[in-house]
Amino acid sequence: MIKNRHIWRWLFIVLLTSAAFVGLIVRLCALHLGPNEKFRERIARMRAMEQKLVEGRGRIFDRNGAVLAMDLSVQNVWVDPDLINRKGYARFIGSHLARVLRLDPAMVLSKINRADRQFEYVARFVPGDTAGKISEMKLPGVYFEETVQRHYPQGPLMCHVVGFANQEGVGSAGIEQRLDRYLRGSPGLRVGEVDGRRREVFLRRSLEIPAQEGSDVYLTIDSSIQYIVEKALDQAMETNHARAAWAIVQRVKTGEILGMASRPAFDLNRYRDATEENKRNRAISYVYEPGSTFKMAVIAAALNEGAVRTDQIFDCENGVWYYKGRPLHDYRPNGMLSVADIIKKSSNIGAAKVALELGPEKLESYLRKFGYGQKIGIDLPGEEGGIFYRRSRWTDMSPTRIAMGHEIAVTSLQILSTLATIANNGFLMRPYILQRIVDAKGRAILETQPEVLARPIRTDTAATMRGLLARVTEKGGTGARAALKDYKVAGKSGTAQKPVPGGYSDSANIASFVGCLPADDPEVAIIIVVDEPQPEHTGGLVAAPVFRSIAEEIMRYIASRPAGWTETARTKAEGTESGS
Amino acid sequence: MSRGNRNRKKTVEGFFFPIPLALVLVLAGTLSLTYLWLCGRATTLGKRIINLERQLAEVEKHRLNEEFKWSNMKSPHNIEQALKLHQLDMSWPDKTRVVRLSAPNPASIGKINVRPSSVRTSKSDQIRIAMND
Repeated sequence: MIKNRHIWRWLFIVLLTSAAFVGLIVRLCALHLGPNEKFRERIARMRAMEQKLVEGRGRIFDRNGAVLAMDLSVQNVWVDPDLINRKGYARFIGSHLARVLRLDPAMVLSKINRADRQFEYVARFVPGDTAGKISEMKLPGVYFEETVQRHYPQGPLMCHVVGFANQEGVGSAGIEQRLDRYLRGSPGLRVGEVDGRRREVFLRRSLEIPAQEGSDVYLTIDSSIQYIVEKALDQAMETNHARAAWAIVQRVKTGEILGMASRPAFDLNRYRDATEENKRNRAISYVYEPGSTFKMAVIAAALNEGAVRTDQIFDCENGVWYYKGRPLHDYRPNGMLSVADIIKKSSNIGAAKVALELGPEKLESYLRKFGYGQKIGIDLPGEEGGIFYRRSRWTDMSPTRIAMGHEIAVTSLQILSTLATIANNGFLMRPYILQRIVDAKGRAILETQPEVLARPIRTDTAATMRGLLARVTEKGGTGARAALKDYKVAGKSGTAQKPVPGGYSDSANIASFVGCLPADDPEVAIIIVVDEPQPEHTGGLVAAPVFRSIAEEIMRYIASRPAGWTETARTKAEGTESGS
Repeated sequence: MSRGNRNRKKTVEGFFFPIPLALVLVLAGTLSLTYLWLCGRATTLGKRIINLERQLAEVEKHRLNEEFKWSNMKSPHNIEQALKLHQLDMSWPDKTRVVRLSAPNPASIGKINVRPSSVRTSKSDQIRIAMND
């Protein structure tokens, strides 16, 4: 029994404890039930979390599935200069960051010394391994921001075709630009709350919108063929001290582009260091007077129209012919030549006379059907349509000049398409580089099919032309250096003087060779163009050997491919061809 | 026995806690504890999910890095460099050195048809198969 004198102590303790508990309960009730909007809002703001889920840009593959472009996760390294300076760690942190990031220590220190700022980027797009090393150092005031950056595993290979995406993830050249809307994904969003340690509370996640990955793009380009072409062009640039060189390889039956290269080139992973000249895709954007390669279009037109026959003889005036008071020269003097020999020996005078036999109206009509004067419609940005004036602007001399590949400006793609038309029994196919687009779930959302653009000449005319062009690579022909041991090549060389103010240059030429093989049933067509080669400058001496080296290796490569490789995208044209 | 020795328990005066109320309280307590346990379990699972999401993101990054390195290694330029490094002189074979095998029907791929030898053998002899090198 509690004695009376102690009961007051017990009462006091009980009252005190009760008062404490009552006070807590009252405070809890006041906080939870009372009007405390300000506190609630503050707590909600502190706990709220909104995280953007970074989307990946779609990848780009070649026809065999080799990765040409992909996103990699990288880190932006940033610092809090205010915090670092307050702790006095500026020099220490600056030196460590400069060492790991391989940056100028003075530059890093200058960023850290901005004590009035709380956010300053030190380095952007740092690879994960390097960021990991910095993270392990646990440097105070150093933080990371995750981002993605476009990477190109093949480096400079097919740089002009693939193009690049800038730092904002926007396609700025090539396929990256052309198919930007397919390649680009859309970011996701995660809304929720964090705990006192800023860790997300999963049960409080109120919204999750997953990021949409971009679609993947498959090209018709074959990396191995592309490499063969680029190596040969590099060699040609070095051997001929050329200003530029470019080439295209195309499957004649479908129009697929198997290789497209242009020199000078650049590394896609360092696109910001490249000049505009290096970034230019000359294969589709450089417009030039084609010279003698153009004769095949004129003679094919004349044969198709029946204006001339292959055995018809023309007087090539021994190298100089005056027409309407203006001289026309042959590179080498020729006497009487048949139409077949006009092609073989590449007589300008002979071609001019054939064009006059055809007539200006028919000449223009056929050349328009071949696609000159307009873009062919390849799926790359920057294609030029060339310059081909309407007949109303022609002079009396124009047919003779056009016949030898002057007074008209074309792209290599247009010349190649003409030869491919001859190789494909008269069907002009639309050249294309995009094979298919596959979304993130693996469904094909776009697949390119071969498309016939026009049929300028008949099958028999095409076969005749192939026979004539095959003679060009025989002994005595201007393209003899393009001949292969195992395959018959049908082609045409070209040497065009470059225009300068007041006329044409004596020293600056464009040397080219365009050919298809095997001549009896062509599989591929290739064009080689070398800009301002020195000291040799003709197509037969400069471009034809490059053609041979590329064609030899490509045919061996194709022969070793599985059967399905050549039968991909089986052509509509074959069905059209068999029905015509 | 005197009246004072009666079993006092039977006549003890005091407060009896109602059994239904006790059951209700026990039930409420059990439910509360179960709820708390489930909350804790859900929180643990939530943390695990977040960790796994983070791991998945890391693994995905790692996979992409490896894919990049592999693609780079497989590029025609690097393969050519590797061949040079190991002094291997390889080129694409010409068409006369390519052998193409085709199966008459897909079901026969991988199977070898064995024909018995035309030489008479005893039943105990095994079937002999001639292989041409």
